[in-house]
Amino acid sequence: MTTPPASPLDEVDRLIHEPARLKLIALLYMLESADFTFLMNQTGMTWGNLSSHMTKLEEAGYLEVEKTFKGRRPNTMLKLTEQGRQAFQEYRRQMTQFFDEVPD
Amino acid sequence: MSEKINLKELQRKAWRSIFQDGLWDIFLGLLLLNIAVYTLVNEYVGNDDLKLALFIGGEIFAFLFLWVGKRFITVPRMGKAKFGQFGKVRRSKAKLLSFASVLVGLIVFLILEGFSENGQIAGIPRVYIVAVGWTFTAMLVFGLAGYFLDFNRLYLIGAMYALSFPLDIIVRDLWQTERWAFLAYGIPALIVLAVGAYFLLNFLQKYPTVQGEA
Repeated sequence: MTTPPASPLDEVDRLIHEPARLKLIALLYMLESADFTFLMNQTGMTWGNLSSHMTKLEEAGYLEVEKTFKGRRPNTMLKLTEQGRQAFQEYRRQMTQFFDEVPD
Repeated sequence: MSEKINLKELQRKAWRSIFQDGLWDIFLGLLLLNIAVYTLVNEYVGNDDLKLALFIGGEIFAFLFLWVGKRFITVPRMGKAKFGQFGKVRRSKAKLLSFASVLVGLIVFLILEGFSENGQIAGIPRVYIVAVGWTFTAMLVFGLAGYFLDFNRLYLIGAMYALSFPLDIIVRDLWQTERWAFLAYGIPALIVLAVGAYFLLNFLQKYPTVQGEA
């Protein structure tokens, strides 16, 4: 049995490929940094949802999370790391390549 | 995934959200309203120091309103973002071109002043030329700022500012009194304030306070 040729989709980063995380990472790619509330409003995600995706991306080293306090209330700033930026660029390249190969 | 992700559009939507709260409209409306109040006070108060103090007080109130509103009401609901180079370039262009427009307007005004004789410049009443200069500068400053900041309501605000001075002349000529001149600034100011209030109310309904985060 021969192994089928690898498609760009097989190599795609599944951590980024998930729609909600893709929206989050794409937004952060275009910004320098943003806080939790801003990202919630822009992506339409709930508190728990965003928190869960944030944790996964942080664990992968794609996201830098800075937790501070403004008075008595916590403030969470999120920023894409260099590794996260490169991963997103690679994801874009692979997806573009995949769609370019699809015939009209 | 049915939703197409357009990176530029994502960034633009995030950027435009800064102006969604209507506070900049209210701030600019208050500045125009302050001119209306000054024009009204000018009719009834003789003391120049008091008039100046009231005018400066009005300006300070407008700035405080914007600062307090952003700091305590809208930013905690909307959240904060840094736009990096994209934001810096937009802000710099808007500031630089608006400043240059004011400067050019001022230079043209001073040059024309040099030719002014008995309240006329080349046979045309000086006040009409100043009104044309004011209208042109206001349209240019707000137009450029609106374009570079991607803040479309600045075109309307610019039009209201541009309209105010010529309206002042019309009101004075029409009623042959200065008593109603404040309407020339007051009505455009109220239009700007109404637009700002509409956006602020929509914003407050759309974005409730987020529990937990500051």
